[in-house]
Amino acid sequence: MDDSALAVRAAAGDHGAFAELLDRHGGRVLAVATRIARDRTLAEDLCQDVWVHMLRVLPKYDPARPFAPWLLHVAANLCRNRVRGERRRPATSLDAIEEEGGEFTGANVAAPGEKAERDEIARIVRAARDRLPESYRSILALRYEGDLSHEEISEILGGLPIGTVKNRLHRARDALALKLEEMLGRREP
Amino acid sequence: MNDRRCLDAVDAALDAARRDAAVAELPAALRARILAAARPREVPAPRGRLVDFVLRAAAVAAAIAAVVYVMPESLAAAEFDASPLADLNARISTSVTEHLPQIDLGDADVPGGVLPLAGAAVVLVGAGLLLVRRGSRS
Repeated sequence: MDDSALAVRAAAGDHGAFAELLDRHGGRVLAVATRIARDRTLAEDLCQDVWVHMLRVLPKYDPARPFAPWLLHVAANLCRNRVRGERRRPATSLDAIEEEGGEFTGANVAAPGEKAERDEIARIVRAARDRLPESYRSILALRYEGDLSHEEISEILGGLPIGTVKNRLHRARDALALKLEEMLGRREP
Repeated sequence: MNDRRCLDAVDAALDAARRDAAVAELPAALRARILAAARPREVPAPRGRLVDFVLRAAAVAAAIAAVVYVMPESLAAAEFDASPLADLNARISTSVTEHLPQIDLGDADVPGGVLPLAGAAVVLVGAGLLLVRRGSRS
């Protein structure tokens, strides 16, 4: 059974259909929420709120349209509103991560295995993403964790021009690359 | 690592994040929490509530009717015969009213007189006052 049919049944009160949708898309929603909220505990709370809220607005869902983008639309709006409403929390700085020695040690990058280096870079990129402004974090989360197209992101972000979406994605990637270069540059003698 | 390589590394990390998210699963505890929060509360339909009320009212009415109309009148009488107790009670009350005025205890004999008791009372009151004054100072 496809997502749309499950959504229609869930809207009619079929709890099993709702559970199936949760199993199919729950992980993705949590990943998007984690990247936007920058905090796993908050992201889990947001994820729960998203699904409970989704159940309420499910009768408004148009089965002719794909379900996943609609769900991520609901999720992203709820997460962004909640994160904006929260007091600004300082994101973990890369310097702090390096000082703690837990995330970025440099030793792992120097390890011979390619996987170790990839993991290290992924950690640095995740930490750098947390330092980006909310607008960039949201776009990156929708594009990568949400796996949405530019058009779908544009619609979710209130009709933001597609050119602007692409531009923000480009700038976010550049900012991450710059941060990565800075971090790896410190490691080199 | 030059700029181009850094950009490639970022793209690779973001693509890896995309792949991870595609296969990510909810933690079991969070899944259970969400399902519990989303489970509809079972509220009986209005017709069900009406039927429930009628059934309860009928049960109460049936119990009252059983007590009033169905229980045999002789049952209350057959359960307990109180006449011997009533006779006993009457005999006790008659005996008390006849014999109690004739009991004469005489004067109570208190050994030692009143003075030692009065002295002890004065000592106790004095000790009490002393304690109260010490308590108020501290």
